[in-house]
Parts: sequence; structure tokens; C-alpha cells
Amino acid sequence: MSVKYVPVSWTTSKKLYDAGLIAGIALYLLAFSHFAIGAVDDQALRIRALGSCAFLLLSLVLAIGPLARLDRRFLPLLYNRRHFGVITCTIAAGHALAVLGWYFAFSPLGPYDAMLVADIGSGHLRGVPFIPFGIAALLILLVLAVTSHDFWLSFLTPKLWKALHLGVYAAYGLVVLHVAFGALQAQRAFEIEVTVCALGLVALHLWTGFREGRKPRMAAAAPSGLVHACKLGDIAEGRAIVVRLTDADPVAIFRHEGRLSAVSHLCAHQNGPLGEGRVIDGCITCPWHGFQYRLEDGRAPPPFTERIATYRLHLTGDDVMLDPSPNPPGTYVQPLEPA
Amino acid sequence: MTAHLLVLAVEAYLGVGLVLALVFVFALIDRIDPQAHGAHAFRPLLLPGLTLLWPLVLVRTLAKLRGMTDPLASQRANLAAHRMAWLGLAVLIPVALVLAWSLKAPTEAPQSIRIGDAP
Ligand code: FES
Repeated sequence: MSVKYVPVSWTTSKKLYDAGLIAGIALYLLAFSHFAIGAVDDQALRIRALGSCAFLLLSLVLAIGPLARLDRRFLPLLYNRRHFGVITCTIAAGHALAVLGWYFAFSPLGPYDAMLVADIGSGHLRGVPFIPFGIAALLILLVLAVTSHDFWLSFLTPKLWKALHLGVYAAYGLVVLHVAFGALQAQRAFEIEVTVCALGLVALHLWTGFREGRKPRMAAAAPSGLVHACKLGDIAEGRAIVVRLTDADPVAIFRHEGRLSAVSHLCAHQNGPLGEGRVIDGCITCPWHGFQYRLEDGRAPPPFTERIATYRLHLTGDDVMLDPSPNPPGTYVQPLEPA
Repeated sequence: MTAHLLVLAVEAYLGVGLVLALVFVFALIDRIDPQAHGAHAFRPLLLPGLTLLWPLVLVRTLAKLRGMTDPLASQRANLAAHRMAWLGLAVLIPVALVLAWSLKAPTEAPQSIRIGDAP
């Protein structure tokens, strides 16, 4: 939410977040080197430590979203998830460079050619090419990291940017293949980390998805075309309820100073869940990164320019009825004042 | 040979990308994004992305220069893709792990057995 781009819009909490993350990584790398099992040389140890750390970070960064959905106390982790992602990619690139510098630097073919044709599987897996999985995963992580600046969100549109960044799931699948057919074959230390992280993450996402899927979806009633959203008393002051529609984007209905306004549940920034946010200083405030929107027209207060769709509401007795057709983003709708 | 050609192709792709990226940050960005006016420090940060994704950048730049507005897109497709991705990973990851475990070379036999087995 800026009027003029800056390299990084630092805040105190972002600095603390990054400092904590970097300190955690340094501790992990130190501990890994200290407790490493089996006699290995320094360079091999560095490769393993960076690889293990990158895998752990990627698993953690993918766990933040579902954790924040299950428990709001995880929301602060989500606030700076992009920096987490960029740091993860940097560690993964460090692992790749260490491999390149150690195993392939002196090949007569040249390091990149040698890495692509290498057969360094072991045991039954001699010939299983696990390195290309790692290269493909790293490429995806690189694309995500280099498109993490807000410029890209605006340039590509949030929909395309989001679609591109869904690539992180493909990257995770590739990383699991890379580790399963590579490090896991040779090093006992990886067995527990990979199994616990990967299966735990799958279980977490499936559980969150299952919970979300069980939330009821509403359809418009004929002939009015309106959806029965809730009872008037269901919405707490300064909060919203989320109406999930059968064939349209979800809508958040907010109550502020007793009056009701309906807007898109999806934030214009990165589709954060606006309906889980609060009204602060008279504006809807996204729980993910704090973008704000006015209740009556879905516009960010000046000088910001983001807009979200608004919706019309009707009151029948104390039943709140929603017209599910969205108005163009930024359209003024008079807040509904119960009698 | 194939690997070498692949490396050459990647180098050529990145070379073209870098030239276009420089043109973009020096000559085009101000025309397509008002938030870039007077903002220069962030531009070097864009170079890696512009270089890596130059075909996509070209398509989006042309669309922006022609004044095409972005339609209000529904986000449901992305949400559905997110669900499908995790269902896919829920199959792929256990299968990969089971396969990896089953192919894992047996751990070294105890020393005494190996001595006895020796010819
Ligand atoms: S998703 Fe980032 S502020 Fe809403």
C-alpha cells in the first residue's frame, strides 16, 4: 500500500521478523554442523546443512498460511511471509552453489553441463536423476523471489501474480523428490526431518481445507435473487461475517457504528481474508498486511488507490439479505442503517 | 552435447532478457506504472525478475501500453488450484517417500557377518 515504490517498506516489526529469522537460521546451521553424524569434510557438511535448512524453511513457510487460518495468533508470521520466502530461496541457492563449487567446479565439461549429466545416485538408485528435481525447484523459487516486490503484483495483476506464486507447491513437490531420491538415500539424519515435515505439512493443509470446505455455501433465492446472509444480531460491532456463495466470490458484511456494509472478502493486495479483519479508524483493515478500505465504497483512503467490489444489502425484519452481484470496485453504496 | 546446448540456450535467453530488462527500467516503467514516477532505488531489484520472465513482461507491457484495463477477475480459480495442488501433493509426497524408502540401499551389515561372508 504505497504511492511511490521503495525497495523495501521497512517497519519495526519487519526488522524484528527478519532479525529473528536470520538468527534462527544461523543457530540451526551452527547446531547442524556441531551435531552432524558421521565424519564428513567441511564442504560436504556445508552442503548438507544448507540443504536441510532450506527444506525446513520451505516447509515452515508453507505451514504459515494454514496455521494462521486455524489460529489467529499465527497471523504475525504471515505479515512478512514474502521476506521468509526470499530468505528460503537464498539458502536454497547457497546449497546449489556449494554443490556446484564442490562436485562440479573442476569438470572438463564445465560446471553447469556436468551437473546436468551427473549420475550420482547411490545403491539401487544409481541412475535416478535427483539433481534435475532440485534445479527445477530452485528455478521456481527464484522466479517467486524475484517477483516478490509489490511492483510485480500491480504489473501482473493480483490474479496472475497469485497464479504464478502457486508454483511454490510444485517447487515443494520437486524438493521432496530431490531429497527423497538424493539425501534421504544416504543420510539417516534426513529421514526424520523429511518424513515429519512433508507428511505433517500435507496433513495440515488437508485438515485446513477440510474445515474450509465444510463451511456452508449460500445460493440466491428465487425470485428475488437475494441471499439470506445472516440475522442482524449475528454481526459483532467492528467485525464481519463472511458469506460464502455457491458460484461467486465470498462477501464480507461488516458492522460499524451499528450500520452494515458489504464488500468483497478478498483483499486487493494478495487476496487476504478481509472478513476476518476489523474496522480500525473507520476503515476495514486486512488481517494479513494491514491494507485499509472505506466501508461505504471499498476504496483505500487517499493517497492510496486500491479498490474492492462493494455489494448491496437489504433488511427484511431482522434478516440481512445480500444482492450477490458485485458492484464495480470502488462503487459507493449507502451503508444500511437498521431502524 | 544436449546438456551443453541447453546451457547455451539458457545463456542466450538470459542475455536477451537482460537487455530488455534494462530498456524496461530506464525507458518504459514510468509509462506503465504511476507508482514508479520519481522512484528509482527499487528499480535494480526488478532486474532479475525482468530478465528471467522477459516473454511475460513483453506481453504485459504491450497490453499496458495499449491501455488495456485488467478485467475484475474472480479469484475462485486460484482457490480451486490451491486445493488441487494440495490434493496432488497429498498423493505425490507419500508415494515418493514410500518409493524412496523401499529403494533405499540396505544399511551396512555388521562387521562379523561381512568377515564370514568374505571369500
Ligand atoms: S492481503 Fe496483504 S493486506 Fe490484504
